[in-house]
Amino acid sequence: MSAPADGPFDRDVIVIGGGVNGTGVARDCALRGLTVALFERNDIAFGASGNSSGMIHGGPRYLTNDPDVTYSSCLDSGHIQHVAPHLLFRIPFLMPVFGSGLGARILLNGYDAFFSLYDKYQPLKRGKPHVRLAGDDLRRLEPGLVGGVFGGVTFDEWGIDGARLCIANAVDAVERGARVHVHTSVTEILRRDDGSAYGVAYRNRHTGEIGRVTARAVVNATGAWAPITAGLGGLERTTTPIRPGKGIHVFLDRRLTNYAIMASSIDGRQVFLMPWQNMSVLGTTDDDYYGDLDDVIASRDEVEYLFQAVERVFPAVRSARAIGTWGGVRPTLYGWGGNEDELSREHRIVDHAEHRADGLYSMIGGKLASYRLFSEEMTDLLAKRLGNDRPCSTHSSPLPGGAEAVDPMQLVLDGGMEAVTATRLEYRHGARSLRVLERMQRNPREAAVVCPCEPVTEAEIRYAVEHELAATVDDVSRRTRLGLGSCGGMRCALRCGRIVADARGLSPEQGTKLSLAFLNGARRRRLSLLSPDQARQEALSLASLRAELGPDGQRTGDD
Amino acid sequence: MTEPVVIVGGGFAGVAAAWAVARSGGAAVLLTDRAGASELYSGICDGDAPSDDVSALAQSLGLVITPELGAVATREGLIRRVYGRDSALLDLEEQAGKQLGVVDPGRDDWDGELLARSFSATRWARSTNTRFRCVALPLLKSGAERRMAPYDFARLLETPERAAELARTLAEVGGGTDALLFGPWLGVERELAAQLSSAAGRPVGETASGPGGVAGARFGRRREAVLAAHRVELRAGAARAVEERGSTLSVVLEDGSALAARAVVLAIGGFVAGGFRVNDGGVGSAASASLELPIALTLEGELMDRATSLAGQIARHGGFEPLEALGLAVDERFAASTRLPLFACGDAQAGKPRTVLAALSSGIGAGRAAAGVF
Repeated sequence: MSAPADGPFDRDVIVIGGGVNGTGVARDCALRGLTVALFERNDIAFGASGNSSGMIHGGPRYLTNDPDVTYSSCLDSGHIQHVAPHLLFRIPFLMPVFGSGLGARILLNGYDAFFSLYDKYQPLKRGKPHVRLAGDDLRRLEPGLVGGVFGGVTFDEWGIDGARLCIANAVDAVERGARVHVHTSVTEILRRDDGSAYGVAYRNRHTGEIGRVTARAVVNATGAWAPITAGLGGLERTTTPIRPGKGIHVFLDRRLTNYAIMASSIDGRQVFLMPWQNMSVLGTTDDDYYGDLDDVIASRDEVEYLFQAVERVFPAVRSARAIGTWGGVRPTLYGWGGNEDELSREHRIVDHAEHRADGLYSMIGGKLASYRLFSEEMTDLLAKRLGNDRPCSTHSSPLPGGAEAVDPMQLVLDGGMEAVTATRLEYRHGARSLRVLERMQRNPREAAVVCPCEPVTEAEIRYAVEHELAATVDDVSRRTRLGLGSCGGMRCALRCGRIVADARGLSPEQGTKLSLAFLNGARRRRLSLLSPDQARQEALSLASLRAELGPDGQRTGDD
Repeated sequence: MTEPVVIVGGGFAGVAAAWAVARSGGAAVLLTDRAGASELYSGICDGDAPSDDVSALAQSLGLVITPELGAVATREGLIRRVYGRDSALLDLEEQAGKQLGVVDPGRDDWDGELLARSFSATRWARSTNTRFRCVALPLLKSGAERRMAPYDFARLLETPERAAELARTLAEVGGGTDALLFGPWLGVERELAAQLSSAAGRPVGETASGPGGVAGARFGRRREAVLAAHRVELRAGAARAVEERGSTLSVVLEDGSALAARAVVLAIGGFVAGGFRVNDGGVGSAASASLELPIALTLEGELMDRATSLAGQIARHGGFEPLEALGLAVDERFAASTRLPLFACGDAQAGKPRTVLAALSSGIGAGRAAAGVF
């Protein structure tokens, strides 16, 4: 089949990439009445979007050089809270000052003055003003802080589950007519003789199905993959100038602190220990990365870098149990000569008309917190090109589940859910938790808790497969955090595989393969945490698998 | 006075070694301090076709050994082909081509309907035309029973009143099914599967257990009977070290006392059971045995007698497999040393298959070899 290069076109816009920018653009386009197809070669939120620090911050770091960025960041944080109130949670930060005497006093005064400036922007995002604290007060708030605290300041930020944010955007786009293809690689960006882009060729990585879709514009929103994607249209890597920066996080099995605590790394960078959902997160690194983008895994060196920095401030971090790592690669704008940290976090749209590829755009740079703004800018450009004059409404139109509030207690009373199950379900789905509840009421079996650590019910797993584009156990885990708790999936992964297989009409053996793929991946992401305690946990998880699958089944999953 | 053979570790391999020493006419002391991998086992006995000796010992441990491959069900809806199983596990091979009921009491960790669908869709069921269907079984008395651990649920079901009630219920449900498949809830102290089979007039049995389930608990109970019948002294206590005492050995316990031994059989389990552990960085080996030994560990065929980065090994293998391969190198007579009467069996052997039947077989071999020292 040869696709027509001169129309009629299958879609107005093709978006390549299912991260936060790709799903953000797909949703914005759909809201403005443009027809969209989105292609993602892995899963929604597979890359940096699902592996970031999980914050919608106000950008205090830009305050001194570029206060307009701080203003727009804070304003947008307010917008995101408005459209997805269930997904955001307050994270108070603590910036401790150590030492004594004049030096410490000057530093504390400096922080105090700096965050007084930041306070002016806090109302935009419902943030609280900063507080200056004496050393004694600080230790009362965080008894685990090491001695010798001179004082400190607090400041307010917001956390978010980045994967849920992407899913919400993707689902909303689908409900507004977008076609979202996951596990589907774009194999070629189609170009006419004059170089202009008119569509893509694709291949589904699960079914092998291939095809072509034509469109009036193509957006490369593939983050760190951007140069590779540009190459699919025959463009040089230099047309999408990024400097990929790997960032890793370590997560611990519980909340250790009330505040996110800042610490200084061995090379003078700011890192943190942060309470995040039901666990603690250590982050983050920023290093040039040239490895496999489909397989970004924290190394032992990176893990140790974070631990040694945080333990100087909060020694108990060593005795907590690390249960996993995240690794992602930022598509940072290219710069030569600076340290990774000093590079701009700005974003940029490349109009490839300047490379003889009219109709093709690349989104590079950016950060999770600015996704909505970036998507709006991109969609404005597309709308103008396509003669669409509907205004952007992503700042006011609620994301799925965000339109109204649901009291988790209602889920407890109406559905017989345990309170913690209800709270976590409501966090992930907002008002749509009622749809999951309806499933349980139709079939009480689905109320069974499959992953007791998070917890996740069978109804939520089936909901993710039927309504949230999940096709594998990894996908379900990304949407629900199933299997990411203390037991590392030992209690739930196999059962989840069975449920996914049943929901998709696959055989039990195929379900087991999906489970093993998840477990092996999760185990690889824990390799860098290996310690005597961690090793014992791995042993138990191996024994559990062996009980089920036998000595050889671990690799093959055959019966 | 003749010193006994001391067996360190009371799992399948240790019990087999003690049994073999006793059958050879030697005195055996079995030292055990805590649950290991055998207590975590699922009730499924993986491994190659067993010898007559292994079958005889297995039977006295309440296991069923079949000359041909049998079939058992797992909690996760799979069907496994094995030579051995705990006697409470339902023998599916005998039910091939028939209709089986998967009971569903409504527990969170057990979805009878989905399990029945999964079992029916397995290759084994399709090739033997065996059908599974869900049989609702009103069994739960409270919400707590819906969520309690399988082991605790099993303890509850075997109380006399509940067991009697269950037997009465079974006579009424599941019409048209040839056998009933339960989760791993059929007896810790009692052989509930056998009792229910006679009450229901058809085979009633379990799926495999998860770690810490009933199959491992039943092993612990039956082990004591076997050791008592063979006059093996069972001693509670943890070994701290095995030391040389001239031509014999001495096993030093945590409390400082020592046991003189003609020979020592190490049945301490592998990495999973805690027989071997990973150490923090610093001086010394990256891994060690749970007790001090006069011999070195082996990893991937190399002695671990110097500072080695286990993290490096693991990175090279891309997984935790090296941990599992940790152990003691032995010769064909299970000797772990060329000059000391020190033997190793079961998961304590480096790089050997980690299965129940391999543990029983190597335990018997090591026990015989150790008894030969007399």
